[in-house]
Amino acid sequence: MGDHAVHATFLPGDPARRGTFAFWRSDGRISDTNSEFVVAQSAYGRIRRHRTPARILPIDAAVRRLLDGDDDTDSARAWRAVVLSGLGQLAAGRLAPGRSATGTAAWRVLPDPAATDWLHRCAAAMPPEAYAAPTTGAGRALLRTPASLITACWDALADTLARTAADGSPVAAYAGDEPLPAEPYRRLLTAIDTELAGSVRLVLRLCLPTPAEQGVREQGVPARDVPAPDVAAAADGASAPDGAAGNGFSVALAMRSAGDPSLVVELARLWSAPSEVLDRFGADAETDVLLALRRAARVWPPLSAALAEHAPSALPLADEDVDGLFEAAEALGTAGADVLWPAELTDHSPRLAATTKRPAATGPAAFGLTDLLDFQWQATLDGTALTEDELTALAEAKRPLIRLRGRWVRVDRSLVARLRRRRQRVGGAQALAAALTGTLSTADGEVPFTPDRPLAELVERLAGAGSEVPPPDGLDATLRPYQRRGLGWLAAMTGTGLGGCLADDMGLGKTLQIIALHLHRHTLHCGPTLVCCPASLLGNWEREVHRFAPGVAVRRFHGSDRDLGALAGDEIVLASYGVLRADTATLAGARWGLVVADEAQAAKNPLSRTAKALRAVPAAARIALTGTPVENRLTDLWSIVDWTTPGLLGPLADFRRRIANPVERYADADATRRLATLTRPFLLRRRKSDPGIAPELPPKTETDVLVPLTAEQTTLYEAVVRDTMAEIEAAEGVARRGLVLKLLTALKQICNHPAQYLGEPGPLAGRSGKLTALDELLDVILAEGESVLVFSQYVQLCRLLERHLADRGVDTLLLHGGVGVRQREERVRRFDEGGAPVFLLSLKAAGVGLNLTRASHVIHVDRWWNPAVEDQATDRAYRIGQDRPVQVHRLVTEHTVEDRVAKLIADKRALADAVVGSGETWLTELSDTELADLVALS
Amino acid sequence: MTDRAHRTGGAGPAPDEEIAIGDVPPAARRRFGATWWSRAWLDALQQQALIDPNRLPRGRTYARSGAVRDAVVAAGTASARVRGSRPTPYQVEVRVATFDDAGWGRVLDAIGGQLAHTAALLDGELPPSIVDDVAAAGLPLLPGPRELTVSCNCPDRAVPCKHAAALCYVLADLLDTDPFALLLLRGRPRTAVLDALRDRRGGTAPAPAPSMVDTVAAAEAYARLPAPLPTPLPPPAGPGTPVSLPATDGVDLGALTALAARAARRAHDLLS
Repeated sequence: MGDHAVHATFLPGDPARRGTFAFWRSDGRISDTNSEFVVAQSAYGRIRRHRTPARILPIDAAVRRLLDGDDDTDSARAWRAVVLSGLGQLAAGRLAPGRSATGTAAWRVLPDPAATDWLHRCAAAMPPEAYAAPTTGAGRALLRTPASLITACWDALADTLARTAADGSPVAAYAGDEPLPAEPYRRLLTAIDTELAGSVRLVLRLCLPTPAEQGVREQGVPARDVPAPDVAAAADGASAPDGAAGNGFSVALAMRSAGDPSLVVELARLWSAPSEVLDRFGADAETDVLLALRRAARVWPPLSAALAEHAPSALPLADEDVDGLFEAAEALGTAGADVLWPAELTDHSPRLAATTKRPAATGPAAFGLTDLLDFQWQATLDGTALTEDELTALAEAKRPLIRLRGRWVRVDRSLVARLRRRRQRVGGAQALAAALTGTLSTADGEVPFTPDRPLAELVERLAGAGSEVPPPDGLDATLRPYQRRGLGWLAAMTGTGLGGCLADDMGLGKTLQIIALHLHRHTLHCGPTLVCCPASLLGNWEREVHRFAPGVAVRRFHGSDRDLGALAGDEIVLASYGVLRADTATLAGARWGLVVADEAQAAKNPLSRTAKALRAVPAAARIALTGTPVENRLTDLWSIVDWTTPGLLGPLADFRRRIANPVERYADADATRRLATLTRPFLLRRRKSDPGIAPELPPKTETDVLVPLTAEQTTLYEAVVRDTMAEIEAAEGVARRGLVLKLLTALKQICNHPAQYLGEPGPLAGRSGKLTALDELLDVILAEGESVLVFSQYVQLCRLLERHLADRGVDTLLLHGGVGVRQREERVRRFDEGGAPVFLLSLKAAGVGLNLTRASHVIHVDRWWNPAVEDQATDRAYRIGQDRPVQVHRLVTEHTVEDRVAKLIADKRALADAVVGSGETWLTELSDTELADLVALS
Repeated sequence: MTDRAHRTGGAGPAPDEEIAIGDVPPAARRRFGATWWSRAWLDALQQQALIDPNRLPRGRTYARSGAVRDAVVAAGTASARVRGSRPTPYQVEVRVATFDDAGWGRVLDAIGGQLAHTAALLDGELPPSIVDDVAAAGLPLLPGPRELTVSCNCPDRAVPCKHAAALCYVLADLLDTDPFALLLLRGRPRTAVLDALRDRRGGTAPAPAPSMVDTVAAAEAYARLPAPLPTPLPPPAGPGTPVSLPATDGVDLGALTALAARAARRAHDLLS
């Protein structure tokens, strides 16, 4: 969906906050240009420097554009990733004062080892356009390296975000916007350079006492001439260096490359073979290590004992100092020393799990999403629950490590504290979510969760939902197998009160499955059903209920005289979203057995009035219907599922933070898995292309889309009928025939669009019910990525539609009788290749043998009124339905001549032979009264 | 671009055989002798000047006013050109007694006895324990008044004259940030000292560091095939505490940390 042509290039500034981003296109045609800059581009193997128009934005505006905008080139995506990573480092507090190349005060980022590593990987992934601003005006074109620009960009972010507009700050050089010299801060900056930005990190590896000498405690003195152990053993963290204190704890000293965290070497080797080590780590490494030792000793005093030796390799540790090491671990990290715990400690720590406990006799029907359930903490070690004795030992431990089940185990004070708070509560929806994903979200983070029997059984039932249900009484249609399964799923989800979203592709019969569901629930005496949908679909729903469930009362809650009185228990009420918003109180006052939201993407914005109105209507069960792949924008998905199954996905802010952002921005695999397990039971989606379904579909499915007239159309329609009928009654013969045809043409055009009838070029939006319906249909079709043919008798209308769709950003092709053969073939070819999703055709184009099989949808905006010249002729001409099933939509204005002629044609099909010719002149044979009935607005 | 490639002050990679201070810019408020060892250095100077204490304040003024030019420190000696009342600057030299090889051997053994000593020197600090350990080996690390010889071609007979005093104050400033300058005055440059200390721990000198290259030819950039883009780093759950800044006198660290915390919050908001 994004713009695949706009490149992004970072232009560093001095000081850093003056850095900018240039957005530009290779062809120079960037819209909203505000400046230009020199870019080095490659053409025919040569490098060319030239000025190109660009939109140049300062850091804050550029960040907004990169994060929220649609620019989708490799360079834009690369800089988006850089900005996200940089903001992440800043959010973690990793910034410090620094100075620019001209000595001006500017903030800088202090990347942690993971970020430094990421920086180099990203630099290797940068496309040339991302850093294509040359540093020289003449001679060989030189570019700043991607790595240096990423650093400069991160510094620009830091320098921008740290500043306020406040005057009178004691550190004005770093607080205000005015560039000031960094000279007064020279000492601080030097200290930062040496202490915080070093390229080598110290590693303090905690070594455990060997179990044999448990009882005897000596202050072991590390030997001076320790043979250097292998790098591999050091990284493994398995054992203490030979000869060092084997009777108590000790810390082995090592060094690690900040850029390559897997490169770890014991300090003993640095002392014994320095040239080899410094070769790999760089000449400054020795200085870095010594400074890191000094800083670390300030933060954790026991380390100064190591500094008192001339070539230390390990440090014996008293029991009481081990606690201090745990507490100082974070400060040590800031000082440049990482503490490495023995694998034994982390793999075999006691873990916390949560579980709900209810007696097994509670039936599944008693489960409610808003119920409050008790849950308890459990501690497990290696998968087995801790016994009371073991728990007591943990809770009463005075030392940071104790022996449990033959091993050293870390005593985590916060874990013990949580164990003490035994009983807590969780909402039913939250417990269900935890039972599905296996983890419970608590204030202390994600915790493994074991559901009790009733919850576990419910989860099993959800997994098995979708078994077929016998077709209900009163259904006047045959359900296809996938529809029977859909009915079974709907019945299970509504039966448990959990709600769900049916997201089948358009044309698979969602309406039919809902009608069947209503009939099924009627046998359970659930109460009336409310269906909320766009106004253009009210007519369709009503027709389909009459067709498939003739015994069911259906009413439209619509119009100024709408009324909800005498609501029957098995009735279906239809309301548009507009009426739902206007009349929420009335609708909320009734007791609905089922509420259905059709085209539920109308409520995808959780803050909209539609969404709020939907939530205000209580129901025993809720089902959302949608044809668009709602999993594309996760906040839209949240809005729909939060309505059908309140509380399942938690509050929106939490959902965004824990799932939506990690999945959409960082491609987090774990968050993706959690999202899938949570939503799968509540979302049923079948595609036309699914293997079980495609063969079951007929080649062509036809639907009438009944649309209302706008007020303007109604006025025009009535006026034309009044005036022309009067003339017709007074006329005879040829003159009369002419007038009838003139009337019918006028009415057709009015039903299409007033602008077509009045011969105006615009405005177009909001004046025609058909246009609104067309827009809604196209939204769904195009979101599915499919192609569609749009037919009209009138070239003028096709032109109006072409312009209207262009204004909405939809690419179209147009074909009519006046188009030459070569042009015609060119456009057909473009459509076939996917060049534009919408093909507007005027029926007079009468093409023979055009290959338009790419289309899976056909929309007839208006029709020929002749039973002999049916759509089949058009279908044959365009080979519709031969390669793939096609859905045909006919837009028909309700209660008008179009509506009635359609019925008339259907009736007269049997008498097709009686109609002569291919024109519409047969209509002129109708009597005045018949004609009046036909054209009246009712 | 923030200056990353170079480190200035205490731990800078100085070119070896001499430290070129260059022209000392004027700075009205400069205080000389911020650290205990530069004050000890100045004490030696003052003891020499017992004869005529008036010269020292004049020397301070010269050091503050930008009169000292082309100052250079080398083994056992420091020199500069100091502008006086005459148009032509005077040539000033300060000589310090150097240690011979045997003396240096004892100094290096003393420094090398504890890793903490080398770490302190690299950190721009001269802890008293170094001076004590070297003294225990029979040598004064800091020069006393008898070990300093100053000379100047100005007409003033006092020793030290104000020009020589000016240079000594400038040297005190240098010693504040770079104790290796003291070792250089005693005869050995920094790299030689570090190499010798490294040898005592048991090894040979390091290979030179690769140079940092900051630009790339455009032709090369366009010819390269970029690697796949890594997914961005995940953000923290909430705004983090800013990195703690090293303690420094005269700087309001609290205000800086508050600004950093604010940046962290704003960054976190942008990501939510």
